[in-house]
Amino acid sequence: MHELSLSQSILEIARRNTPAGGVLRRVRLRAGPLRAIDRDAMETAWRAVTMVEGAEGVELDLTLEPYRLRCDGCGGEHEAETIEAGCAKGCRGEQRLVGGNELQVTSIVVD
Amino acid sequence: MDIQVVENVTKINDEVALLNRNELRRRGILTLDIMGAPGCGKTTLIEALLPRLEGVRVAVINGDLATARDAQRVAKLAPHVVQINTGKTCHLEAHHVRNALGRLPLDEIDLLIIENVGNLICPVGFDLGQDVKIGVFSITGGDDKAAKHPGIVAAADLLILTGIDLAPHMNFDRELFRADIRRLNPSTACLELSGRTGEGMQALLDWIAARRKAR
Repeated sequence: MHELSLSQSILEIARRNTPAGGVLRRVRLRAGPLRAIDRDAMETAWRAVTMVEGAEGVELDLTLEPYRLRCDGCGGEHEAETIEAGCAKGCRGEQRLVGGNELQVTSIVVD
Repeated sequence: MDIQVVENVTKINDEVALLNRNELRRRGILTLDIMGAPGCGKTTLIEALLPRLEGVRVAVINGDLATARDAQRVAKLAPHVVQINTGKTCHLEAHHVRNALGRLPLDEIDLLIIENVGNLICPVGFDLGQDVKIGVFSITGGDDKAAKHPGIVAAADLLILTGIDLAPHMNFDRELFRADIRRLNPSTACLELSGRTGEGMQALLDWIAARRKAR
């Protein structure tokens, strides 16, 4: 349940970036698959943290990014939902993991 | 009003981890963060390692949800052991280690071993200030665990497969396991050993010695 720790950090970042007098309404988060974030667990954790921290009702928009793989055969990079995916161009090269570790608050919505 | 932020979620943890790293490096301490599932043999590995680290002054930080059992085992073999009970937190964070460092005689330590909370997923995303992340898998856990947990494989500086003395009793496909690791993190070494019998432990000792020498 690392989603609980992450939710606390996300709310802290969002509040720190909220201008004085502004009311935080929404937080947008981008997460790669290597962060192993479960959407349901994240929503539960976010609801719990915002309730305890007096931010009930602030929405979390979670975008789960795909893996990025590089093909040893053609050198091309492509996105994939699983690390077992083959080359997007159909060649038989071995696929290497090159991306999917993102975890960023990208923007907030404030009234 | 839409405000662009672009800030890493673990930024605060990362800043505390940097404090830990700077302090440990300034003192010349090599720090290992050992991660793996419950029951994969992390504590047994540390128990096997400690008596073999001749001339190296070692401290151990044990992370656990609720008990001090691992620390009690390790304390029979190491003079400086700190137990951290995380309660509901399924991983160690940098502030846990920061607090533990305050309870250790850092001037008397060459090597710090951190045994993370037993978990193959959550500890991976939290920098503690370590030099080396070690991912531990076991023969009894099955040959598909690297593929099923790409985060730990991708993040690890070293992978260890424990319990190889049990291999004759298990249907563990080592070639499949190694191929999954190559795909996820081709630059990472994978040492195969048994803490119980000592087989393969010398390779780990050599690896640690090389890392200490490179400091």
